[in-house]
Amino acid sequence: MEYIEVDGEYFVIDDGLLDPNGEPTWILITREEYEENT
Amino acid sequence: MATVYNRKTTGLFENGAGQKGDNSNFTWMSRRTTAGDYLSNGGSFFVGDNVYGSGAIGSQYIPVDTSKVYQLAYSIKTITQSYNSRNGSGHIGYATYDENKNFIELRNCKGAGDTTLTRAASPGDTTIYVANASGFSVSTTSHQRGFMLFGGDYPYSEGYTRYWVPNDAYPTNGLTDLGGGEWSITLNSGLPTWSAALDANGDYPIGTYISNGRAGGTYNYAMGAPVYPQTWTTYSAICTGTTRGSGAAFRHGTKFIKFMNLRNYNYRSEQAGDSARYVIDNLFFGEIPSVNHALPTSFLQSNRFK
Repeated sequence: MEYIEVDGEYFVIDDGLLDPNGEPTWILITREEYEENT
Repeated sequence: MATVYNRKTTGLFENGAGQKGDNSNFTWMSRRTTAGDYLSNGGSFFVGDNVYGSGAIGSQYIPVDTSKVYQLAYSIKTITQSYNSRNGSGHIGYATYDENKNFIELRNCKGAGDTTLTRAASPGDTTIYVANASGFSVSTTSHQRGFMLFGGDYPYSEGYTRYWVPNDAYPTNGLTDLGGGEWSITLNSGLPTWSAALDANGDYPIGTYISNGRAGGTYNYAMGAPVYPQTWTTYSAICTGTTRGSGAAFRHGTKFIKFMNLRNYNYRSEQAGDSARYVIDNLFFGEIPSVNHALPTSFLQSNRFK
């Protein structure tokens, strides 16, 4: 589980939740959640 | 006013309101028939197991014409709170697929660092020349330094491509402004061979469209990540046109979509007891005449879904 800011948006990269290509899912989160976890 | 959109059922979801009396197309949910816990057709879809942030993608590929205007709406109600007094929650929206039912992610879409080749390039080249690389990322994370090339018959050039190097296509110091309206991009590996995009000389010609591939939101979180109240609440979005994004508008290249819900994702770390339970009903995705003609909540929460 990685928290990341890209181009003003905040995401958690969830490697326990794979997308249809089998890659970790990037999930949009709030800035508050990002700041709580970084 | 007519309430039949596109065909005999209400909207384009097959069994989106439990018309079949079962959970087909949404098999991760059971059917709940308790009075008050469904809106139409005698039952709703019930997230009735312990789930702490798992994804759920519908099995139906719904065809889309991105030049048209659609409304997407899901009605949801929390049935029981979690052990930690949390309502149901999580991202709702859709997943996008191309005409061959390949999943479309942001690194397949133009919209970041868009530019064109200023010199013809050949497969195997480790330097390419473009009009402007100032929009390319120099992030130290490799998933921001992808590379896309557009051309050929398929993948096509309407802002969508499958010709991509998704990660670490160039080093962080690989961008050089040569002056005179030209930049060079040093690649970490030789330019791949994408045959359909090559010209008669075996080159990617001058003017070939190039973009920076940057990872971002996996799905289209069209209706955000709400916490679902304990009364029926309808979440709705208008979907039309194409872009590089993770909101309501379709991604470039979209020909199909699927239902998407990240179940109880907002409280995914709270796993010391039962998760919240919630129901979903009257899933609607259908063409509407314009962005000003969204179906009202009074209809979307009604028992008129057939």
